[in-house]
Parts: sequence; structure tokens; C-alpha cells
Amino acid sequence: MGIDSAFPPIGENTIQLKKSNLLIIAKSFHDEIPSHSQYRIQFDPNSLIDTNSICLYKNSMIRTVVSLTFAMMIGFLPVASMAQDTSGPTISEIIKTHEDAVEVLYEKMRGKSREEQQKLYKAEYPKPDQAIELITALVTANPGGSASLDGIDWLLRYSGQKGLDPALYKVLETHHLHRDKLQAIVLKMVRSRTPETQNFLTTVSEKSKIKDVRGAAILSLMKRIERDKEKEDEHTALAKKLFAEHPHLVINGRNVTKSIKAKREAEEKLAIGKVAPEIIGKDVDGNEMKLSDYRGKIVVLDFWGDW
Amino acid sequence: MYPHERSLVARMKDKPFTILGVNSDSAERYKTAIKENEITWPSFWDGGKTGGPIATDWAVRGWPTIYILDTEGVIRYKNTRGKAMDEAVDALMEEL
Repeated sequence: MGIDSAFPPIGENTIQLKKSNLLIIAKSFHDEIPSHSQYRIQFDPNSLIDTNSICLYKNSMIRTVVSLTFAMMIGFLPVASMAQDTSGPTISEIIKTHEDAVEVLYEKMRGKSREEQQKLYKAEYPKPDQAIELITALVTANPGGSASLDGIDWLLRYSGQKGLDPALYKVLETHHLHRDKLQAIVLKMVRSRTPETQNFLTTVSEKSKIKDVRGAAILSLMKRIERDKEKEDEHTALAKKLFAEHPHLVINGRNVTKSIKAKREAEEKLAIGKVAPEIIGKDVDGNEMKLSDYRGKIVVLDFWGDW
Repeated sequence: MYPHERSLVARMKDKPFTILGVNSDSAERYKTAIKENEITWPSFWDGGKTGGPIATDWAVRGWPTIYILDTEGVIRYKNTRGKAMDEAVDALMEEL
């Protein structure tokens, strides 16, 4: 539904919609809103009543978020007075509200049996849908702000295999490509299987001016396919790029390039078809023994413990 | 584990075959285990912990980890267990 035609303008800066008990109000525009940021949200009137929040629209664009009261929503109160109110929840406030609700649940789960905890978690984990929509809207409305990075960082927690809303990759690429903080975000993009995520990470790995951000993007590209047997060649190519361009990529105080290299070398040495590396050790009584003592025999080498 | 390994060892008696362990237990526990479970095959003793020098060299992350080597010492199978382990050993025996 085109917002323009469906929502007749009320005043210069406001429009009102009487549909599903919703009021949608738009105020003056913001320069930062790119023209492609057309955005539609299907509001569930019931959930709206819970959060008292609603997005402002005009001409398909989002301006900001304002608080609405229950009475306003169902009563169609005059819009003019509300149009003054732009003090809607910020990204950090929305996140905090959600996290607080999660914390309340965890508090409730404390001390309960495992079974009860699972039941509670399943029944009462606060649905993030509303917060996801609001934050997505806020990020799209003000893509260049540093709060938008925090918002996307949080959105990644719930994005799972489907990845982010494709518009958000555009936001990151256009506004945050050369920021240090992008590193933490690309490192979280390992679960999503969408081509948008893949393309975005590739772009970052090539175009970000921050070296460690490029390195982290390569790392995420590798992680996404490390268990995919069909993509071994791709994985190897990425590993080579990582070793060549980022020999000292440090994340959380750890030289990840070095440890990936060591792991790959160990795996190569122990691949099927390779001669097993010699083992020189002792039995429990201190008598020396060697793996090569057993040449000529088929050996089942069993790393075991009596647990 | 043990009963299967015992039966494999019994079946391969008189053939060029061995199970060779790398054990991560304490010395005391290891000694009890081999007695209680009639473990007749040899094991390296890896210092009484899972992060011992041999396990580290072999980048062992899961226990048990199994490699099957042919008579030339070439790694031919990895983490093959149970019936598949029997079949793997039989296949290597066929090659001889």
C-alpha cells in the first residue's frame, strides 16, 4: 500500500490514518533520509498498545518514533498536539527495555528446575519482533549516527540464518565502512546464509580503509563455510588471503591468523593419505615406545580415556 | 567401546593388526582400567591429562579420536567407529 495515497495529509507536517486503530503521524523530514529508504511496517495493534510506540511516516519515509498512549491510539486524539512530540525512545532505550525484560525472565528462572526453566524460557522469552522493527526503522531513518551501529549490532543477535534486513547492509556500506566499530559487527555475521551477507562481507574485506576490519571480514567469510566440504577451495583461498594480508590480525588479544595457520598445518599433516607423524612416547611404566615400531601392522590409533 | 575393541582384537589375532592407545587418564586410573576391562593392547601414556603432548601434537579435540593407519603408516581413516571400524580394518587387510 502506498502511504501517499492511503494516508491523506492532515496538515503540512502531519498525516493521520484511521485504520486498525492506528495513528500514523509524519513530521518534517530529515536531511539524512536517503530517498530509497521506503519502509513499510505492518503494525499489530495489540502489540502497539504494549509498547506505546509507533513510527512516523510521511511520503513513505520514516522520520522518527514517537510515544503514543493507549488513549491516543484508540481515541484518535487530535494529532497537532502530538506532532510536537519527537521524544520517542532511542535505540539504546529500546534495547534496554528489551534487555530488562529478558533479565526479568532470567530472574524468574533462577533456582527453578531445568525443566521449569526451559518451559518458562519458551513461554515467556520477550518477543524481540517489536524492538527489531523499531530499531530497524530508527537505523534507516538516521543511518549515519553511531547509534545506528549499536542498533545493527543488537539486531544481529536475533537475525540468525536469515541475516539482516537487506537495507541495513546498504546502511553499513554507505555510512560505516571505514569505522573501527564495524569489526565487531562483521565478526557476528557468521550464521547468516544469505547472499546479501556474503556480498557485504566481501565488499568490506576489499574496500574498508580499516585494515583490521578487512581482516575480520575475511575471517567471517571463512567461518561461514568452514564446515562446508564443497567449499574447501574457497576456504583455502580465503585463508591464503588472510595469511598474506593480515599475518597479525589480533582479536580479543589473540593472534587469530597465527592460530588458524597452526590449526590448518596440523590438519594438513594429519589428513587422510598422509603418513602419520611419528609418535615417540612412553607407556605407563616408563618404557619407551614409538609409533613406527608398529609399521607392518594395521594400526587403530585410539586416543582414549576411561571416563 | 571396550567389548567391541576386545572382539576386534580377538578376530584379528594372528594377523598384522594392533590397537594402539594414547591414554589420557592418571596412571592409577589407567592401570585399573586395563585390568577391569581386559585391555590387552598397548597404549602411550600421555601424562595423565587430555591436553598431553601427543594429543596436542595430533590436535585432538574430541575423545575418543580414532585414526586407522595402514601397514605403511599412512592415515587411511579418521574417526571410524563400531561396524565401520571393522569394515575399514577388513578392507585394509584385503589389500595385503
